[in-house]
Amino acid sequence: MMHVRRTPPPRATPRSRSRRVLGAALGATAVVAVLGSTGAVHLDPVRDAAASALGPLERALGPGEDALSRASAEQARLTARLAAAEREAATGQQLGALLADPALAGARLVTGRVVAVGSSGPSGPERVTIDVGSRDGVEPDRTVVAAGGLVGRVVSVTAWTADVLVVGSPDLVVGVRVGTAGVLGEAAAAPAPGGPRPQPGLLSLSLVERGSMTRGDAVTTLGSVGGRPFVPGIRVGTVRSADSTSGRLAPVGTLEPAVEAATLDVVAVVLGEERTGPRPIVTGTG
Amino acid sequence: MALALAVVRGLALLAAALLVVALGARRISPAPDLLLVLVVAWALTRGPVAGAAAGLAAGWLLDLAPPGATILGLTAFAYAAAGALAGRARCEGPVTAYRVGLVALMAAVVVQGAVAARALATNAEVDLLHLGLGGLLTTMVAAVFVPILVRADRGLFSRRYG
Repeated sequence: MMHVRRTPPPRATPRSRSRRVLGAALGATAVVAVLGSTGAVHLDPVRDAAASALGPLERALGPGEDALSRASAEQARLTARLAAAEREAATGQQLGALLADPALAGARLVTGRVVAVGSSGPSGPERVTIDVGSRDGVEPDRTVVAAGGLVGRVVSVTAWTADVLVVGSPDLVVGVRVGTAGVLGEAAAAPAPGGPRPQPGLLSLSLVERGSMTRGDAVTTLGSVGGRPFVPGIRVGTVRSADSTSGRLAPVGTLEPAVEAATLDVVAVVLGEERTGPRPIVTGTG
Repeated sequence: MALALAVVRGLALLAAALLVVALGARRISPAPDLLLVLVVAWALTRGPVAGAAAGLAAGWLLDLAPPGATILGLTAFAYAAAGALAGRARCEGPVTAYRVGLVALMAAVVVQGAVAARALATNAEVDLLHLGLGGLLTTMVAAVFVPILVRADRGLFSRRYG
């Protein structure tokens, strides 16, 4: 009978074991870094646990309270109070200017403030979030105005906030009237076919019919059915340049918006009232 | 004994991490990277694997100690690379301050390079003077303290294994 002697499998040396452990730790770190950076997994519980464990130690080692820190704290409190008072005064001023706009006389408004500004497009912010929502009566496709004029239109609404597509966004085209004659046109961020490319911060303006416009002409909203998305007569801006020699039937130009989206603060949403009855029939007197 | 040594090293890393954060809170900046000094010391005693492990632990501590890092794990990687690099320079016999300084400088370049690379990737501004001064301070502190730490570590190691 033959005895086969089996050789035992090679035992892992402490060195190769520690290499394996290190490799696993590095792999786990890589997984955490990738998942964390892509946002696929929220690692807040890990951070919270670390903060709970290390926070008290950091507090113990941190700079204690002394005369300098007390003075700094007092200064911070006073600065915050001053900022709050200044903000209140500025809000009141902006709100006063907004409500005094003749184009909004008699309109039902709900005022709010910009609380978030979305990613910037080629010529400034394209969407902002305001702190009024459906609970305040705001609905999609409502006009949003500021003290200077038109801000944009509401595109989505939650209970307490609303997202606004601002003038200057590539997705927003506004029907307008230009000058005292009220020539019809449209304002957009994209250049009109054959027209000049607007510089950053300006809009392109193209008339839809024969007519004239000159630098400095006021541009107001044309208005939409039921005041949605735009109520008529809101200032959009002023004509910056006009070009009637571009080979188009109607002149094209550029428009300087009345409201700078980057510095928006107090705004108002025009709630409007939809017409429920027919217009009265009138008789000519000629 | 091995467990006790690991606990002592862990506590030393924890103390260094807390000290680094506390120095920042006292607006002492740039400050020497005390964690990197410890990592270099252990890497020079034990080699690249132990150096990378110590670096990984040190980086994780910095990633997690409040206020923590934006992306967890990246600092850990940078310190692990620095520890592995420093471990390649392990030698028998006494460790000279010159050698330590050179190794610490290379490790600091790895760590600060990772910081600069991350800033460049996010289009943030890189303060090269601040990074350079931090690296230089780390090198100087390492040149003074690492030979002492290496001697202490070797003493503990020889007592353990005879």
